[in-house]
Amino acid sequence: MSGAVQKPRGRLVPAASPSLVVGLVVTAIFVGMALVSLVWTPWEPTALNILNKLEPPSLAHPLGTDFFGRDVLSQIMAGAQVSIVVAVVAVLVGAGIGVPLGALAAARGGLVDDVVMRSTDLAFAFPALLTAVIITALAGPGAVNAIVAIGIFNIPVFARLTRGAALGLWKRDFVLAARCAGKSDLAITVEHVLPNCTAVLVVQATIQFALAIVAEAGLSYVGLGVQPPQPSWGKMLFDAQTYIYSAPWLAVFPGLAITIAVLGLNLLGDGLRDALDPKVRRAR
Amino acid sequence: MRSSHLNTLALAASLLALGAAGALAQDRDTLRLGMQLEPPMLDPTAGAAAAIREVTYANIFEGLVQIAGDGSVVPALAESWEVSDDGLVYTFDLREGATFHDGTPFDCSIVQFSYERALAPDSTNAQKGLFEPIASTECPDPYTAVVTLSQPSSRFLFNMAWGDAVMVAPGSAETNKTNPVGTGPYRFARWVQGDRVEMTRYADYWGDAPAIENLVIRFISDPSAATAAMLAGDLDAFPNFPAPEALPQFENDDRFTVAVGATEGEVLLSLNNARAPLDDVRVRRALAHAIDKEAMVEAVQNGLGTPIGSFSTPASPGYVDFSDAYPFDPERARALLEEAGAAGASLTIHLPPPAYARRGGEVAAAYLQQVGLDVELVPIEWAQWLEQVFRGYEFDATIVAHTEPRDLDIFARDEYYFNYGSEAYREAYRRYLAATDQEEQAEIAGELQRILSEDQPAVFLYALPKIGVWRADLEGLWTNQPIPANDATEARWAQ
Amino acid sequence: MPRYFLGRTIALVLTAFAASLVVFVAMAVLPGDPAAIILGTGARPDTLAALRAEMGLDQPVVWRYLDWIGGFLVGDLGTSYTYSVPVADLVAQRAAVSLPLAVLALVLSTLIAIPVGVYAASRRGRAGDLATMGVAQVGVAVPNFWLGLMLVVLFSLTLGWLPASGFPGWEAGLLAGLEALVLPAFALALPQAAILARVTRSSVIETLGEDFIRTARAKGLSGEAALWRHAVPNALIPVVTIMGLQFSFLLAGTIIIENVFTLPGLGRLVFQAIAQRDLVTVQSLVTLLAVSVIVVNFVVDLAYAALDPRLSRGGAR
Repeated sequence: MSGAVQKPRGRLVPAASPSLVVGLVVTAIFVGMALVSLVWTPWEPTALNILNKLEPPSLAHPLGTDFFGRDVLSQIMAGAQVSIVVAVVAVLVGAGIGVPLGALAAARGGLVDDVVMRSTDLAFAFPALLTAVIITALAGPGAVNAIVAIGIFNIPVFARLTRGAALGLWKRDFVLAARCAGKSDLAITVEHVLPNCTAVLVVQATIQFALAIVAEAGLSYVGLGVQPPQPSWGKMLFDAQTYIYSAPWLAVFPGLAITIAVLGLNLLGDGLRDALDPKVRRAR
Repeated sequence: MRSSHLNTLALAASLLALGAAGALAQDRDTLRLGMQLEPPMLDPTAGAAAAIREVTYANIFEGLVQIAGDGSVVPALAESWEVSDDGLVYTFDLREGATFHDGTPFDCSIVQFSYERALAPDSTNAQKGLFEPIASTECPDPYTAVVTLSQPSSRFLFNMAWGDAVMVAPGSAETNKTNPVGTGPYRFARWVQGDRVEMTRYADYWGDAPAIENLVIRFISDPSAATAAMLAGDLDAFPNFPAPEALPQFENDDRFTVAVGATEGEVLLSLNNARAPLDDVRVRRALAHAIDKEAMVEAVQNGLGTPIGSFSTPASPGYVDFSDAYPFDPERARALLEEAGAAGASLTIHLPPPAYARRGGEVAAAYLQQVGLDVELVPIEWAQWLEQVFRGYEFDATIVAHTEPRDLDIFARDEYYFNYGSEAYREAYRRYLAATDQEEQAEIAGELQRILSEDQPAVFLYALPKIGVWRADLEGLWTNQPIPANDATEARWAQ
Repeated sequence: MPRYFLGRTIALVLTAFAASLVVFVAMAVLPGDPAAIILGTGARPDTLAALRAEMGLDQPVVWRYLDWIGGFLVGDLGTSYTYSVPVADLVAQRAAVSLPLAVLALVLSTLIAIPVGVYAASRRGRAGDLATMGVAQVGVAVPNFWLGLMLVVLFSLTLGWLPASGFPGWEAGLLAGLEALVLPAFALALPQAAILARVTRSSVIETLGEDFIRTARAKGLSGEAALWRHAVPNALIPVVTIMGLQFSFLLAGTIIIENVFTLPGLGRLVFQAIAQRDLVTVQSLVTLLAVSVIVVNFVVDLAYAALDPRLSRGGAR
């Protein structure tokens, strides 16, 4: 059973690259902000205070107030919850279905492989946002349907990635050895193939996580994401558009929040890839 | 790279400056109006969208009678009319010499065709109900039309002034959706879908020719884009300006006139009166006390709009002010809910797409939560709203504007989405319809409003304002909006 | 190769049909009656039934699919419920906005990305590389619809250089049309350029390490000359492929950008058509988009297979 899990050659804990450090810090702040907002925000994020509407940034409201007099900073903090929950669940759904499908395609080959691959072709044929719009038209807007809509697009991504990585592994000696020892395809997949795909999958999950945050914001921006009163960054941007003349700051801050969160996750993904995959590190 | 990028922008900017200068030079032969929604088609007798009327009413199509900017019924293709004493026979004297834009002459056969088409079994008229009282349309001579009703209806003349009752010719009725042919002062020129409709003066119009030769109506759905288009001088007027929050900018700019007028539209938190706990009048009254209507108007309409307390607006005939009937009083609301055993009840509010509903819903939810209700907001597209809320009655509450004028009848219907079954109201409404005397009618209208105020089958929020923004040198557009229309026939440039 | 080609062609046709079926079924079960949307709140049941019959909605579902797909195959995309005009006309009208926008964005992103990527590769590990790639990291993270809003704030509201939104139509002049597309094209192009610049950089670095470059250097070619004459052309092959794939992403990206800038393009058309239950338009348009993506992928696959016969076996991309 030697080589069941192929450890990267070289140091087990690679020197932290700047990407990894910055990515970790930003992601930690992002997640921390969401956690803090569960128990504390400067103001009640959903409380209306119409007399104080559209106030520019000040000491009391560092990022100003919106058209209902709600505190923008508090809303951005609470909005992080939605981004994280939707993105995490969507990626889990995508990986949960996509990875087994990809592994199955690689293990069985032939017709099964063709069917899985052509199905992913089919899924890729529809622009993601368009499908999301149709799904929410079918089932109504809301957090769960946003998760479904985004999750569906993660399935083919993970399926293809897993299949590609697994196909290579199935030709490796240690898998052939296991095969000769009479192990079933399932056992080989679970014991040898998938563990060796973990690194690639973790890196991809980070990237998909970032994409899911943008997707959630995009869906909310067109009114199909999480519904009020729950604050969401995309919804904040959509609402801000009407006030772009009178209160431009309303559009600036939620967009910055999205950008920084995505940037952090992308850096984290890059850093993880460098750390986990020595080949890539050499090429970079 | 960076410098060439900037050069591109600088070049583009200087070119734009040229274009902008051109736009500022006034083209006195063309009036450019902005509208938020594009009509799906241009035939007001085949679709319900208000945008169809806002393009075609009075400009392209005319009825026997027409509604003027002050809400009165005025002659159009009928010069005058007489009503029999029993209120059953309407005799219209038709205008001679009127023609459709394709040359088809207008006479009584057109009246007969138009009304019978609306009543036919395969009719797709969105307001077929308006024609229901008509028993027959006859033509004793080409320029006299005699319409006999099966029962008297004090609303008949007003109804025949709706966009759904305009005159259409047999030869063009089927193609009016994309190529509208009417008798109005403007003839349709072309429709660039997704962008604009163009019209030009009809040379053979029977009445006074409009002062401005060309009429272009552009469709700009996004409120901030509408603001930009007005500020840039790309449009001469936005008669229903969608961005109340941008008004201060126009008020402080002497290039523009801001005209805030009234509509006969009421924004309601409509309730399903058949569902517990909303079947209890105390709960409905509690909701009315719980919501600060002034604050809602401030938050949603930037302070424009009048809070109301019943189903009528200050612009409607016979309006009685019930806006103080349910003052904002959370304590009272809590007490009423407690009394009805509905404290902490949960309530779902369906919100169709317009901003008054989506934003209004957020405000309503915040206030209702303050009195302990558990509120869920469900945004919904119009298609689903029509199916689920309006026809399926599957809802607790919804926010919607009822923009049809003089529509007190909706609370008297046997089947309507409020599920409001007040016999007292129906009885009063029957008297209202039968009343032929104006004064008596107004009195009963007041009674109807009082019943609705007491019962609160819906929480009556505020009267929808009409916010118009146009160039300071433009005159003759409607300030008020008694019905959805952009009657541009009186528009002219100030000297 | 011919067998591979045949197999892929059959797969292409099947996928396209599956796509049409998926779209049709989705539209068939979509809640909301197209007739009710047209006739509104005053409509009576008999009027609704009359209009449904007029629109053919009273036919059995299978017949409606066959009727539609039969027309689709011979180029008849049906008649829009909402606008009462042929869907093909609508699509042509709107494509006149969306396609130029996507092309403009693609051109812009290429013009920005390739020099930046090559520059970064040539300065590998030095300040210039770190700075440009840092900017590219941020560029990848910026959501294009927010970038669009910010460009509007800067160039339309603050500087007043470019129109904030809307499209005057090409008949208003090429210049006026392009003006309206400049900001949306940049909003689409900059994040794509960031991705493309990163790809270009890695590709060039990889090529620089290959034998033929070393040979060229050994023969005395300067670093700069080796870079531009040998490395860049070779490195561009994967870059061009990525651009091909990006085009379909750009076409999809226009959907949200058209909403930001209220451009009357395909994206807004499909949005409105879904909201108004203009089922025929949605069906035809979405199927058209899906088929075009499938065909582009097919061509890319074939190109890969032609370049690298080993790939003929799998569908790896």
